Amino acid sequence: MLKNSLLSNEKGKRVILSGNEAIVRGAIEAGVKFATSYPGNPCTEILDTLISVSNELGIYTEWSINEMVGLEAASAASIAGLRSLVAMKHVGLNWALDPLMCINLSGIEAGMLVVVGDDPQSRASQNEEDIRFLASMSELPMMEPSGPAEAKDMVVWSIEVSERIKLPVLLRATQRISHGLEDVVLGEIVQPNAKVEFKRDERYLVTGAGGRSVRLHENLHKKQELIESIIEQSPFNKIVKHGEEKWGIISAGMGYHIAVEALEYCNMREKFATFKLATPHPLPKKLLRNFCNDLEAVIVVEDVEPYLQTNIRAILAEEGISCRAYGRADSNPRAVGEVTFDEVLSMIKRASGNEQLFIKSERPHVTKFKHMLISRPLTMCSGCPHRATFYAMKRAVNKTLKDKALFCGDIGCYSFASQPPFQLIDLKFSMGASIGLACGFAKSNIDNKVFAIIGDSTFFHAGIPALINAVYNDSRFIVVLLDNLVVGMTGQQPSPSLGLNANRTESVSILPEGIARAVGVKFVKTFNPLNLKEAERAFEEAIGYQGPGPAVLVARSPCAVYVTREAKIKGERLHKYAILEDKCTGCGVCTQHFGCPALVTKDDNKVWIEAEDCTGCGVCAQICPYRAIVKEVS
Amino acid sequence: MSKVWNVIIAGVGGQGVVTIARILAESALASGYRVKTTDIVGGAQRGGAVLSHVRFGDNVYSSIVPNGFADIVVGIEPLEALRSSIQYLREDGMVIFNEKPVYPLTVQLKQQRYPQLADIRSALLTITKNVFMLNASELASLAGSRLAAGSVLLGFMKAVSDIPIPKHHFHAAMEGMFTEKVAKINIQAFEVGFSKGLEAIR
Repeated sequence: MLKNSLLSNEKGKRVILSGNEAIVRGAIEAGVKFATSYPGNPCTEILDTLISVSNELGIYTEWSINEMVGLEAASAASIAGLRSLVAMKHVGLNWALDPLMCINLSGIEAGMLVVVGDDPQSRASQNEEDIRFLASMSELPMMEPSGPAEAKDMVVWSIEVSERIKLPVLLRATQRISHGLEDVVLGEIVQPNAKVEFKRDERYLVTGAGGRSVRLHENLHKKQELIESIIEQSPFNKIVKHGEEKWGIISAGMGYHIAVEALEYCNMREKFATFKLATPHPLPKKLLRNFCNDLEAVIVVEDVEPYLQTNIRAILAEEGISCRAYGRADSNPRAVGEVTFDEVLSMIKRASGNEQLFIKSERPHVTKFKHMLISRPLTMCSGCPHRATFYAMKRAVNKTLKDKALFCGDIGCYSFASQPPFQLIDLKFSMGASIGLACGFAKSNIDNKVFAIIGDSTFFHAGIPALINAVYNDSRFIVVLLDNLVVGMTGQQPSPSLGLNANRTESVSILPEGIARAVGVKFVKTFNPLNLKEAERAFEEAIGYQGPGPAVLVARSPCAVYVTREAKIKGERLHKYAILEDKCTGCGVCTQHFGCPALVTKDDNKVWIEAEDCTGCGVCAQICPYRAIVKEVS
Repeated sequence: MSKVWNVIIAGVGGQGVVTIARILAESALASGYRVKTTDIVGGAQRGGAVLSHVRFGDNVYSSIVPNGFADIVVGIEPLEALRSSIQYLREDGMVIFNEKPVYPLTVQLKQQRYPQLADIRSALLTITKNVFMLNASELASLAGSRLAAGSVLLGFMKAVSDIPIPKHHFHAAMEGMFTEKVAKINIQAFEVGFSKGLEAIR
């Protein structure tokens, strides 16, 4: 159904698409021929979806090693004449900021769109930030859709604008947009006549020498006037104003719909003019001036930071307009996270002075039951090889180091080891930071044995330079490299160790231990974590290693979800495990110290194995002190 | 403002929450409505809570159901049904939930206690009298797969609520989204839920 919708030539047809799928359909309609990405919520599904139609449409798709490389590759394709798209999450743009701050100077050729998935409320990210500030820093246009349907049209428009101004256009899609469904009207698919060639031009040599980069910067500033006039004319900024209103609401993204709904809810629709602002950068100054000119006050509704509010205040001050702009900058400390319906209602209350507005969520007779809502911490999946690695690691550490160990974690499923039963992560920052942190702790002569815990994809993304740093500077610690061959957290996209490309064609399998040896690591050991004895021995040896340089342990076993899915595709049966009822004493070793979700404690404290969840890894059978867990006879 | 239907689908990773939301969205579109949904899927597949908001009507604004606005909460898991209802269910709304718990790891580790089903039910009854609890997982297993519990609940919802979507649109959405074999199981599960629903209100 989805594939048909994406490939359909039926212009005007109405179909259900998610924000990510709508962005893909937009890219197809605009004739994008080159797409890169690094997996990351909320926009992983953009490339996942594009891959599913890449053969039919002749689109090159690539899981790049990181967002920086993805951005560089997409800009090269654009410079060579192919319309391109690169998708990344907000923290990905932090990584890609370095090249972005040169590509904005050099410019590009064919239309290029940078989709940035922002995650207000940080539901699936290490942090919450507001990516709009990077648009003003890079002086590139940024668009913000208020839903999937608009996102699709915006992609087509932005790629055309990008080609006209010879600069990439940024599109901010928050989690609410990317992961929401909406009915979308299909447009026409165009096939631009792309001639692939490189036209030499001095603008591509971005260098400070001879004052060139300053000249290019000046050119970028000169372009702003054209960009501003295009933004003022964009079909996506929408004003509803009858002239009688005293107040207004300015909002972006999903916040716009929340604001309009809140106005409807409290019968204030006629009292407030509304401005759907779809262009966070540059702001449409003229439109804003005309909108605010005869209003007493405007409420600015936005997620995370008061980016619009502070900029609008500056514009109003500059123009000498007395209209006040309320928003998140007024609270102290400033609000964080996503904007909510209730927050908008209280802002309407404040601006209109109507204290009678009832806020729905104030329901003490209901909220008194909140104490029953126990938390549901994330955990590793049934059969996850990481769990086995951590079990062996904890045993080895308890035997040798006790509490004299320090664990630097990283971004991936293995970060759940911070939770019970392992509690093996002390610090976790950003991609690849585990090894960099470990370098610093080890060189600080801290009294703990230092561990860096990192997955294969994160290692390839950001860990390699840090490992070289450790070897080069003789930092002594243990790198635990959990290689499950895929990017587990985001949906098992292939990682370079798997040996398959984005569209599952064969590639070279690049192994982390090969890289470790090549950069001069003296202690490198690979083991299968599903063999607990072997794993524990490997940890003990690594703990005993005194240097020079770091020790690298590679725990290799494919992601359990990947294994299960591949078996299903191939029609293979996984050999499950079962409990021998009479042997199980209910000691709880398997459930309390290992904690695989397939192991369930019954009322009599004995354990049984949920057959549908068991992946047949067999680790629990190695743990059971009473040999009560056995492989099922098929 | 014409009626907007607000439905919350709640459950945990692996229970098909997002898929059920999409079936509902596709069915609503086929019935001539505008549709918007939003998902919270941070913990899909790793035991985390998953939540979908589905809103449809002649004109839908935000995709996010405001607190206390949900007409129906469909809970594929009891605790998550309660969690969503406390935040979203309106006073005279309806909650339909599967009585089969998925225990958080911390319950296995005996660090937290899972609430009694009876307590969940009575808490829900303070919000609305329209509380329906059924063993959707078992009914789904009988239809061919316990993974079809969400479809059982959808069928039940169709029978006990005024949701303005004809049955055949649910069937068609499942046929469009699944392989033939999986669609058959889910349609069967929907029908089992539908008959149970009719029994419940008879």
